[in-house]
Amino acid sequence: MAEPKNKYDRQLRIWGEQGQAALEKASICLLNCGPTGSEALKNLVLGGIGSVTIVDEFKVEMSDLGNNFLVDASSVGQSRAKCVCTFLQELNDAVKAKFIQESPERLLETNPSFFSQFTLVIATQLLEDSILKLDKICREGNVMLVIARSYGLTGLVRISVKEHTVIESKHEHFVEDLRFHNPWPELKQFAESIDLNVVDPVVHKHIPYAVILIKLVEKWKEMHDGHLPSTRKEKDEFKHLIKSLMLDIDEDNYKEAIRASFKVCPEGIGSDLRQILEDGSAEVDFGSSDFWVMVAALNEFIANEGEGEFPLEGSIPDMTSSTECYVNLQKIYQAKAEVDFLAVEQRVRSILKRIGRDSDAISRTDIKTFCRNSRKLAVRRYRSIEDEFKSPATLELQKNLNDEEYSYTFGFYVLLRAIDRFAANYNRFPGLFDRRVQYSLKSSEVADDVHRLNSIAVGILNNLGFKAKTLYEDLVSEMCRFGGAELHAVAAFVGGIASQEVIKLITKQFVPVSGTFIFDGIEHKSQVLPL
Amino acid sequence: MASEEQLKTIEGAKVLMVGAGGIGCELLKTLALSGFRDIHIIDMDTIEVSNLNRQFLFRQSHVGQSKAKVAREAILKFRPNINITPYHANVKDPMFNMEFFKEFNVVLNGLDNLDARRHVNRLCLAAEVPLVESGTTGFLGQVTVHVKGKTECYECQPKPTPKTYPVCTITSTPSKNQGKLVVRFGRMGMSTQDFVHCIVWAKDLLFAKLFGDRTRENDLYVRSNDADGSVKHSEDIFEQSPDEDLEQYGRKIYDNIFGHSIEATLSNEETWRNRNKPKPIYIRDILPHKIAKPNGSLEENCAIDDTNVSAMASLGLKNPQDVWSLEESTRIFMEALRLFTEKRKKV
Repeated sequence: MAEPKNKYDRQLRIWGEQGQAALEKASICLLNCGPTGSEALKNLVLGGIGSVTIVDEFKVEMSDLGNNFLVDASSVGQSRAKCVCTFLQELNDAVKAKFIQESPERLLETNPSFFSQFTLVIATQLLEDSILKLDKICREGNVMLVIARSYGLTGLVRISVKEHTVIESKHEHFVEDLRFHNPWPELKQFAESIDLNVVDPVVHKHIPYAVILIKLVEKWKEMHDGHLPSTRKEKDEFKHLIKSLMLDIDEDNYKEAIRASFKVCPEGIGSDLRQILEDGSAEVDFGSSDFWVMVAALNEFIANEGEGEFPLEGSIPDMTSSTECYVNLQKIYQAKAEVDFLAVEQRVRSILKRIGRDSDAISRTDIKTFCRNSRKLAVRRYRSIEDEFKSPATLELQKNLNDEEYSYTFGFYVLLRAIDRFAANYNRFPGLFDRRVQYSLKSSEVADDVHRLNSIAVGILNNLGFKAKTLYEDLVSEMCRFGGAELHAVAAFVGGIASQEVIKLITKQFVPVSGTFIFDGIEHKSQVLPL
Repeated sequence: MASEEQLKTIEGAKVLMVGAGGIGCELLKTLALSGFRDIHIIDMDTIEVSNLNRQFLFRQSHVGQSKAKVAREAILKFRPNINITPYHANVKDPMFNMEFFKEFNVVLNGLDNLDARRHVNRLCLAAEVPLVESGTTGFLGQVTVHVKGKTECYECQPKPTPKTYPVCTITSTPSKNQGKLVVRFGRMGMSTQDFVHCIVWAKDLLFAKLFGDRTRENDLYVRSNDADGSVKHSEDIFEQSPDEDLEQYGRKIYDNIFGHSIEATLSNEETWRNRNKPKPIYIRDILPHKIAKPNGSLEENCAIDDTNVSAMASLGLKNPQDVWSLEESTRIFMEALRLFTEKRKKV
């Protein structure tokens, strides 16, 4: 029984047992198991995803051996879905792996309700038309959709989910909320009980910097009409004030206080967080999700018990201190966090009751996690594919286009859509004749394809609102040279990104990519386009 | 997509991979599928259960075997016509000298430590072989290319010393100090990597368990796996029971931290096949007799205000630069615990 925990040890340290449990409950459907799809699924199966169902109509050909690691020479002629499925099962027998030998396009037509049984669908190498249909089906059935495409040296990953809310966003480099500017009575009292002018040098150098800062902010405010040090000059003066109290230049606690002096000015609420608090969904009713119920409770808390502050997180960083003092400080912060949590819990319970739900519908653990992360909440909303095509985000794109650095990635986005139109018109990919790539660009057939692809791309650019814009010609030729190839290295990368996003969506930890992720394998650059 | 000429160059290239772990497995697969036919792999490690969630060339049945060798077999099963040469060895072994490195067209690093990375970087510079360097932690990762005379080398930019250490490595392999016990409360200024595990242990396990909130979960404490070792029983060790005097309490903590939990860690035999095994230490072997009170009677001792006396001073150890013996370290542990607890009672 100890084995699975051991096996998943490294990932448990990243997303915890709760994240792992969510993965083990999830069922994933993969459309097309070429290298992009196979690699995406491989990563999820290794991590112990609950179940996978592969939908693919093809038989393994010799050419598959050149780019897909999950099939070998003995698989040639057999169902590709079956072979990939067998290999994946070998990677992790805790996963339920199934396959259906069928074309995804046909399944979309004949059995659209098939998709509603899954937590999430990963659609790889699917053309524009089918993606539109699939997106509608998934949105109606509340199934998350991740689209991944590799094409020659480029590729994209796109999430399509109505709304994804994140409590454990796991932001790094977050400044702790230590309330130096506004200590609550117990903390203030504790700070007052300590004398900064103590004569004993040993005691003096073991006063934790938290106490030093709380006392000096108080003093500063007295001298400055209740204002905090805000300008650069004032902040420097504040540092001098700290320095002036040092008995010896080697006092680590004072050095730490100087280094941490920026923490006395509260960070304020960022615009993203402000938007969440003010979001229409925070006006809750019976149909509201747990997340928004807790946001509503958070708003009430800030306006009432919180007196403008968020619930305290309760942990404190390491600092030079006597053991006694540090442990006491820890206890004071933890106690305040508990009080704040209880107040938020009260409010969650009464809101639940008010909107007609069971007042115990949200567990204490969930509310506690919410409180600890309340300054790091995140919400992502993705437009439908239909909206992306019909009403392009021209203004947002314009901003990105002005950045010379990234005009190649934007070009690839346009061309990835253009090749789908090309394929719809000519029933083949540009540069690919009789399933053989034409190497020489001088050949007139290829030149014709470059021309055709270019005019399709210009049409798409016009629809996007860029009338005068043209694409680099070498980029269009390059796209034709790719000839529909799915290179293993690019597929492994794009599939890897897709699986990473799937993990974020299922565990509800970390914040998924905000737009369409485009990979440029020529320059090895990537960009996220707001589409 | 590549021209015939380019394909020939790839097929004729000789490639060295250092490390067959998480990055190495992906790399080897991609190299094989991209047409490389002569790949050499160096890795000193053996396969562990915790590798299986990402190092997809390995299976449960391979646990304990050489990573380099199993990776080779796994790839050959799918691509039987290429040459893969495995070395189950340390890249710092003198057999991998400049002449060895000169044989290759390119070297790819998939290592997990700064020291080996620097070593390979220097050899590549000397042998004038391009180096592709890569690394990941959690959700982060980076790849850089180093070509002598064209780009900066791996060591041109100072590398920040990692501020956090993966707790997983520290818990499962507490061998970084070669079995020597170093516990110096209050004197934790040492920062070399060799002592990392001592500091992490003292700060995150002992401090939290002895002085902080005992009920909080802790990744570091390895419980012994006996069937009757119920959770309640094992957590109690940090609590002083009423029928225990301070010395018995100290001895109990000592035996659990340095004895029982080391034995529990050792029970995972695969981990230790290529590493120095830590030795479990029990206090009865170090201090078989009850510790005599220093400076005579208890009363006298209490009369002096020893709140500011360090365990070192009260044991008469003068020179802070001295390297303590195991017995001295043990005495310091017991004395520091006594001084602290008595001081705490007074406050």
